[in-house]
Order: sequence, then structure tokens, then C-alpha cells
Amino acid sequence: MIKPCALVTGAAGGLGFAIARRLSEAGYALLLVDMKPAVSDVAARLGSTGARFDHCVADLSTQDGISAVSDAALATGLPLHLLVNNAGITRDARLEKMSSENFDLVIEVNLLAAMRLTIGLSDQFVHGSSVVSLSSRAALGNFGQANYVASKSGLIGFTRALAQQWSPRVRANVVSPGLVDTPMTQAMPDDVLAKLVEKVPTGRIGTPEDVANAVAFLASEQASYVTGQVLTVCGGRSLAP
Amino acid sequence: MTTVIRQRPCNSLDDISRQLREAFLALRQAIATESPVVIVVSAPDLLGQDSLEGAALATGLVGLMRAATFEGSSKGWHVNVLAVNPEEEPAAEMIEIASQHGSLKGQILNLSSGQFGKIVP
Repeated sequence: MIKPCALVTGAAGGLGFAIARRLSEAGYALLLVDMKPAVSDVAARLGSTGARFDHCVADLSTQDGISAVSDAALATGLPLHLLVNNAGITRDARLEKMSSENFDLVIEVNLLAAMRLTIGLSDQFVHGSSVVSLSSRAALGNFGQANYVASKSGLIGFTRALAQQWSPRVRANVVSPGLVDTPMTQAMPDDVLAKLVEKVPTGRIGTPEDVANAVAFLASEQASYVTGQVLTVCGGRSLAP
Repeated sequence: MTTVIRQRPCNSLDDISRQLREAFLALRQAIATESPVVIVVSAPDLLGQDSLEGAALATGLVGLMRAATFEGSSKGWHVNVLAVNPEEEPAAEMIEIASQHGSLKGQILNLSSGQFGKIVP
């Protein structure tokens, strides 16, 4: 039986790894993409599970990078069923202090590269396939992240338009994680992190697996009637005072 | 003096980048001079009813407004979004309300038709 192919960007990071592992459990063959060569290690680590993994080192801010990923997807010889736009960066600063270079860079990586890749792969998506893009609860507003908030909010608009234009062939949805246990949150002082967790109604920090489960759900047949939506995975933080 | 930032037609990824950068710079300048800001966007684009690029731009502008409000509402920054029908200009009274009403901060005021029953981002 031919396995469907899922392409995951930002796969060398902690969240990308969890998403790739969860999707492999769901039966996908994976094409792991990152600009960091370490993505080959991720493929090797996950490959021990017996699932098929390919990888591609590419800079998605360039047309050459998009072409490389497109070629790699074709080279798998598998039908493309899922694209997970997970690659992202932060360059935080208060609005008054934020440089226009860092504003542009975050918009480019988080928003424009995802759009460029999605549009660049348009011919490869098979009927019934899906695009899941990683936004953030911060898209609702956050301190010192004007660039990040604009990029992640823009991703939601892009997805809403994509959902309407590419239906019924392709569904498009967004996962918006809140506070999640990643190297960034692990680097926070304990008391700062504890105060943030106090604001989460479910009383705990999220795990990469919480986010990966949401991605797997939106990609699955169980979500075949869901498109153009935002699934916020934040323990209720987006509602709490 | 209110700073009004208007979404313009957007047909490419470069357009998105350019317009978001211009909005960011105008917002930063307005904050430095303690000027209220009103961002005018296309209501259909907020719902993804037109182009991919326009939708990304409109919601990106909303994100900018929310980030500025999150960061500066306690400092008196006053930033709101008006969502209008394509090709329409918001009435001057609406710009005045969006820029001066005391507790109205970080909001999308929908002045368009045909948006009932839809989820605004």
C-alpha cells in the first residue's frame, strides 16, 4: 500500500520533531524540511521506528529553496497529502526599539515563506489533502512581538482564503499553540514560567505532543468537514483574564 | 492628529512585505508622537473572501494593531482597526470614534455589509 506523504517544515526543532513523530504514527511517510542540516539527524532518529523519512535542507525564503523542496517532494514518488507549515523564528523587541530589518525578517520567514511554499506545491496536492499552518496564541496580541504577531496573524488570513479557494481539493487549517514546553520556555527563569502557567486554566504547560495531536487531527479524515479554522491549543489561556 | 494607515491593493508577496513594513514604521512613528492610529482594512479580506495576498495582509495588519495595543494600552496608545467594504472610505466620524473613544482600544470595528454570522479573526 502506498503511504501518503506529509511534508513538515521546521522539522529540526522540538515542535517539528513531535509533529513528525505523531504523523509517522498516523501512517504518513515524511519529508522533513529545515534550513539546518541537523534535520538529517531527526530523520535518522525517527527512522528507527520503521517509517519512511526523507529530508531536505532548504532556505524557504528563496525561490531556490522552494524549488529544492518541490523537487524533493516529487522525488519521494508519493502522493502529497499534507503540508505542515511549522518553520518560524522570533526576533523580539519593544515596538519602539524593533528594527525594520528584524520586522522584515520575521514576516519573511513566518509568513511569506509559508505562503511561497504552499503556493509552490499547489500542483502536487492530491484530492483530499490538507495544509496545516502553525500560528500562535500570540496572534491575538503579545508584548514585544509586533513582528511575530503580525506574521502569525497573517498566516490565519492566508489560511482562510486558501480554504475557500482550494476547496474541495485541499483543506487548510491553523493550529495556534499557547505556552508550550520548548527550549524557549525552558530557558525562562522558574518564577517567570510559574507565573505564566498560573494564567493557564488547565494548570499546566502544554507539551509538543499536545500540538502534534492537534495537527494530526486536522490532517485526518476525522476532520474532513473542517476547513479554514483555527484550533487554539493553549489550555484555555486565550479566554482567561 | 490621527495617523490613518490604509490597506492598498495587494497582488504579490512583495506587496504584503512592503505594506506591512510601511504600516509598522507608521505605527512606530505615531507612537513616538503619541498620535492615535486607525488602520483601515478590507472586510472581505479579513474573512479570506478575496485574494490570498489580501487576506494575509489584512489579518497581518490586525495583528500589528493587537500587538501595539497589548504593548501600549497602559501607556495610552490608541490603535484600532476599521473594516470596510472594498473601495469604500470610512466616514470621518468613524475615524474620530476609533481614534478618540477612551476605552476603545485594540478593536476591529466592522463597517461593512454582509459579514453577519461570520467569524472575524
